[in-house]
Amino acid sequence: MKKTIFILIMTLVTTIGFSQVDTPFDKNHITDKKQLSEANKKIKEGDKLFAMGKGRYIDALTYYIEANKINPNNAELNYKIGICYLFTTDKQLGLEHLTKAKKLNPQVNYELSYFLGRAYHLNHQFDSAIIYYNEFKRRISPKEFAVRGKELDKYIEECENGKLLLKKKTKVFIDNMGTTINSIYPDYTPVISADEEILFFTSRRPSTTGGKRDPIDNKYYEDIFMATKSGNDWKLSQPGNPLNSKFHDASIGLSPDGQTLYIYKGDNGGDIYECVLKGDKWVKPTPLPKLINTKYHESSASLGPDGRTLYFISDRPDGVGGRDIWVAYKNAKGKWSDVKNIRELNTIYDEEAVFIHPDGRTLYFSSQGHNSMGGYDIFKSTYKDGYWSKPENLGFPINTADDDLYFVLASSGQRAYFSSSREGTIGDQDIFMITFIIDKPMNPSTEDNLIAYKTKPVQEIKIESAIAIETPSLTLLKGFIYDEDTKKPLEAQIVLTDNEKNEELAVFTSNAQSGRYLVSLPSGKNYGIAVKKEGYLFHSENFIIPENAQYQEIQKDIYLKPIKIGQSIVLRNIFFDFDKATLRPESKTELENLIKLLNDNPNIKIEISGHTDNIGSAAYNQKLSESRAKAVVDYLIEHGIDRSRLSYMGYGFEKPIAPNDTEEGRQLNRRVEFKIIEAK
Amino acid sequence: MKKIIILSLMIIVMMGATNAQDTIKIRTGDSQIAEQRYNEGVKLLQNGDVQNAISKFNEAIQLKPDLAKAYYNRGVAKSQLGLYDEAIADLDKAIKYELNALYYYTRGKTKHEKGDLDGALQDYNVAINMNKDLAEAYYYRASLYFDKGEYTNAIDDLKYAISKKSNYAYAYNDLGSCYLMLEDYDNAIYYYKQAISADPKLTLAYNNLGTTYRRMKKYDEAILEYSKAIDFDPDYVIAINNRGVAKLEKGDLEGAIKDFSEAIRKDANYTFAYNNRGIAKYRIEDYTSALEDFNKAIELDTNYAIAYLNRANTKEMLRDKNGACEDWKKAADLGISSAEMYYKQLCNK
Repeated sequence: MKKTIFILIMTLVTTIGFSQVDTPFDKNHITDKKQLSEANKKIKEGDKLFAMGKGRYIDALTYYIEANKINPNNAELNYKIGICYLFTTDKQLGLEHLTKAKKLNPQVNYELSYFLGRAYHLNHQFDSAIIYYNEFKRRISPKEFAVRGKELDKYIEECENGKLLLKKKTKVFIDNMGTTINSIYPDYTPVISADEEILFFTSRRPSTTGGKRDPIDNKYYEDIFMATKSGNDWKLSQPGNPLNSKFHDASIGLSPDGQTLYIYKGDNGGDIYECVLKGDKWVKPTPLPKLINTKYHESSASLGPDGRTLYFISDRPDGVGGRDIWVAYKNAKGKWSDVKNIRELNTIYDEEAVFIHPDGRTLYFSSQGHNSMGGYDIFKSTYKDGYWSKPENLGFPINTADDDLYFVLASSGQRAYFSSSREGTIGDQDIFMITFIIDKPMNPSTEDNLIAYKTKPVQEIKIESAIAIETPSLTLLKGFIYDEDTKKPLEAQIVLTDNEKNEELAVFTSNAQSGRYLVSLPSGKNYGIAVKKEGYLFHSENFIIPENAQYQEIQKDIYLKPIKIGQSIVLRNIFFDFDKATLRPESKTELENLIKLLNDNPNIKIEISGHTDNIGSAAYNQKLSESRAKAVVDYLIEHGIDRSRLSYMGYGFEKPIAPNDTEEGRQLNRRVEFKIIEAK
Repeated sequence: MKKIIILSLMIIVMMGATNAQDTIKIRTGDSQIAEQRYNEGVKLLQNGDVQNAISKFNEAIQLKPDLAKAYYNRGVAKSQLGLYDEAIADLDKAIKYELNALYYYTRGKTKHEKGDLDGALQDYNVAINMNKDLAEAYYYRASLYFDKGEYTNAIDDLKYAISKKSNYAYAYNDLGSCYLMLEDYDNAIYYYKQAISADPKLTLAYNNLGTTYRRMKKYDEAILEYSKAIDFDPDYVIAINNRGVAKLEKGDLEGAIKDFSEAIRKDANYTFAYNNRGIAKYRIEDYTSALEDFNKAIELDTNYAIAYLNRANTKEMLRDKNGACEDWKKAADLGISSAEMYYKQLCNK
């Protein structure tokens, strides 16, 4: 080996000498005929691939590197190697080779200053990039300027953006997700469940379903992979059919509860498909309706926490330009009924990779427009008072001068995932995790001799106030639903209601096999939650989440009670005016649930009981609780339930279900219960 | 720094000498042994021989138990030894036997040094009522107001002191400091400059002027004034550290590190310089070195709350979350609310 290297070096010395002048591949400069022939052959092969465009640069590079070993001082070869590196694996090497080409022969190619501009741009040396872009603008003919002027101006604008963005770096840790997830092959488009327990991504590795390569780029066909959190690690699985086929299958979006996956398929110009998880099986992917999928290109989809708002990308006509962000709404009957372009977020350039956070009001997307520093940058916008805010660039190092795409943020807001081919990849594109750090002020200590006669100085104690850590305005409610008697998991419906508007917000279904459910509750509402399943008493929960509530996760396992004598439930969403027995309008949904249960089960008779906390006299509380129970019964009678099936009792504070010594306990004790007293 | 301490000690000694009552003229033919002992005591006190001075005053008092001057000077002597309670008892006696503005003023100053601010204020008030021209009483009452945060009252007294004693450099400096505390930087600058004009070698006034500019974010002016203070006293670590902070805030991190290192070289136990150098290193993202500095600052002062907070932030960048949480907790326990917030939000298990 050593000998080979020595011979090679000697050959180079004898053929080219030490000078750094443009050295052609000819017999005058390379005396070894064999080497000259070999080098020219490699260059010819490389040129063929180079001419095919960017997709083959990596292959061309292999040949060019071989030729370059024989003669490293050829301007044209360095120029081409520089371009190949720049758009494939190593932007720094790209810049080095292009710089060398310029040094060897500034006239090597009329586009040299253009590619030097690109190279400096992609290496974040924005001032130099601007110089070369301007130089190129001066060099080209007016005719060519008419074609390329806009592109060059856009690049210059991106460099100006980059200069500003680099001044204030975003404080983050960016970690490769490791070899459990990533491979030497392309791994990208991560999508994650709201609780970060399930991760889907796309990979082009040899284990792809069918094991075949796409003849276009000679890479394995895309397959979707799934990883589930196991302690601090991830456990990888390949879902197989029907999620994956022999051809391209790419994950593009996941519902917050992890039960619905959106897939991109190349059919019909590019369409979005939906797959639902039933137990541990995925049902066959179905294309979204024509309102969403058109003959144009649709890609990337993200479902809002209400399950009724879908953000997606399409290049259909009537947009702002190129690929745009669109939103589709589902009506009360569960049909996609309305689609509109979110004009305030779209630009004449392309937008891609849209992601709505489970808080329902923060949208992330990639765009080549706005103040991108180059290629696609990731942006954030928040929805408030009917408007989307001006998109905010997430800054360096999340964004770079190259494409930055497929950003998804965990519900907690503390971590995000995206794919990139930046430094630190195991190979090609990899999935990275971003951990956000709040930039905290550091506090210097100073002192002064303010009072002249005192030797003891006066300390200046000025501690910078803490930077408020913004957490998403969101509560994640998650857990499992079981049969109370058998403790087996249940597939049940979870109906989410806005109590104040008496409006059904969303309906979710727990997983049939595990009973797992997850509901995102954006802050600022009084939520009624009814868990329903035929043959069971419904279970109700109430969550009043103020607008300023911080991110929280609530784990709540729910045990549904089969309908039979003696079973009782607390009606958590029945509300009365203070100290009165007047039903508040927010109780309507719960009462309707109760009416439906009685109508569905005509053979049951029930008792409605009122309960209070221990504040006030026993007589007063007994009377109040009885009046309240009666108010519920009266409502049911008014709404068609036979009087003979209903009875009511007021127990005052005789039957507490929690200690009365805390407000929390007292609140639990103030309740209306429902009990089956007869079932034929 | 040493120079400042020496200067300040000199001032105290001088003030003590000023406060000591003069010798008593001995009448011819009168033995006046008590007065003789007293006079000997005064001389010893003026020469700095405090213990022997006290012995002489003891003798004088034994011979003449109502000799107010002897009580007074013994009180001054004991105050110089830090025996404030005994000093105050002597000054009480002096006042008992002779009503004198100086005695009240001196007792007020002793109470002030002892930390009895209300008692001190009462005595200064009486002294001023008895002698409106006692500029020092105004000056010290002003410093008392300063300690209590009553800057407007302090300003009134200092201006009065200046009206009674022109070229009162200390009073001008303290006036500047009152305005600094009130964030009236223009007036602060004016009076610090007056102080420097009255005494061009008043090093601390240059430092204070520098701090005023630093607070105004006029970093170049601040650095210039701190540099003047350091030129007068190369060991003035307070000014070296402050200049470092001005550079830090200006963004000259290399210059800041140089100054903090210089302060440390002058005084290896100067905790502030370690803390501040840690910050500069944090800013250049040299977190490991920053950690070493915060460790040292905390080693020197285990209750240095800010250093715990800064160290926690540094450990966070070194991805030592447990260590960061421990330090945020410690800083929170030492009363830093921002640390408490970080602990609550970032350290929930």
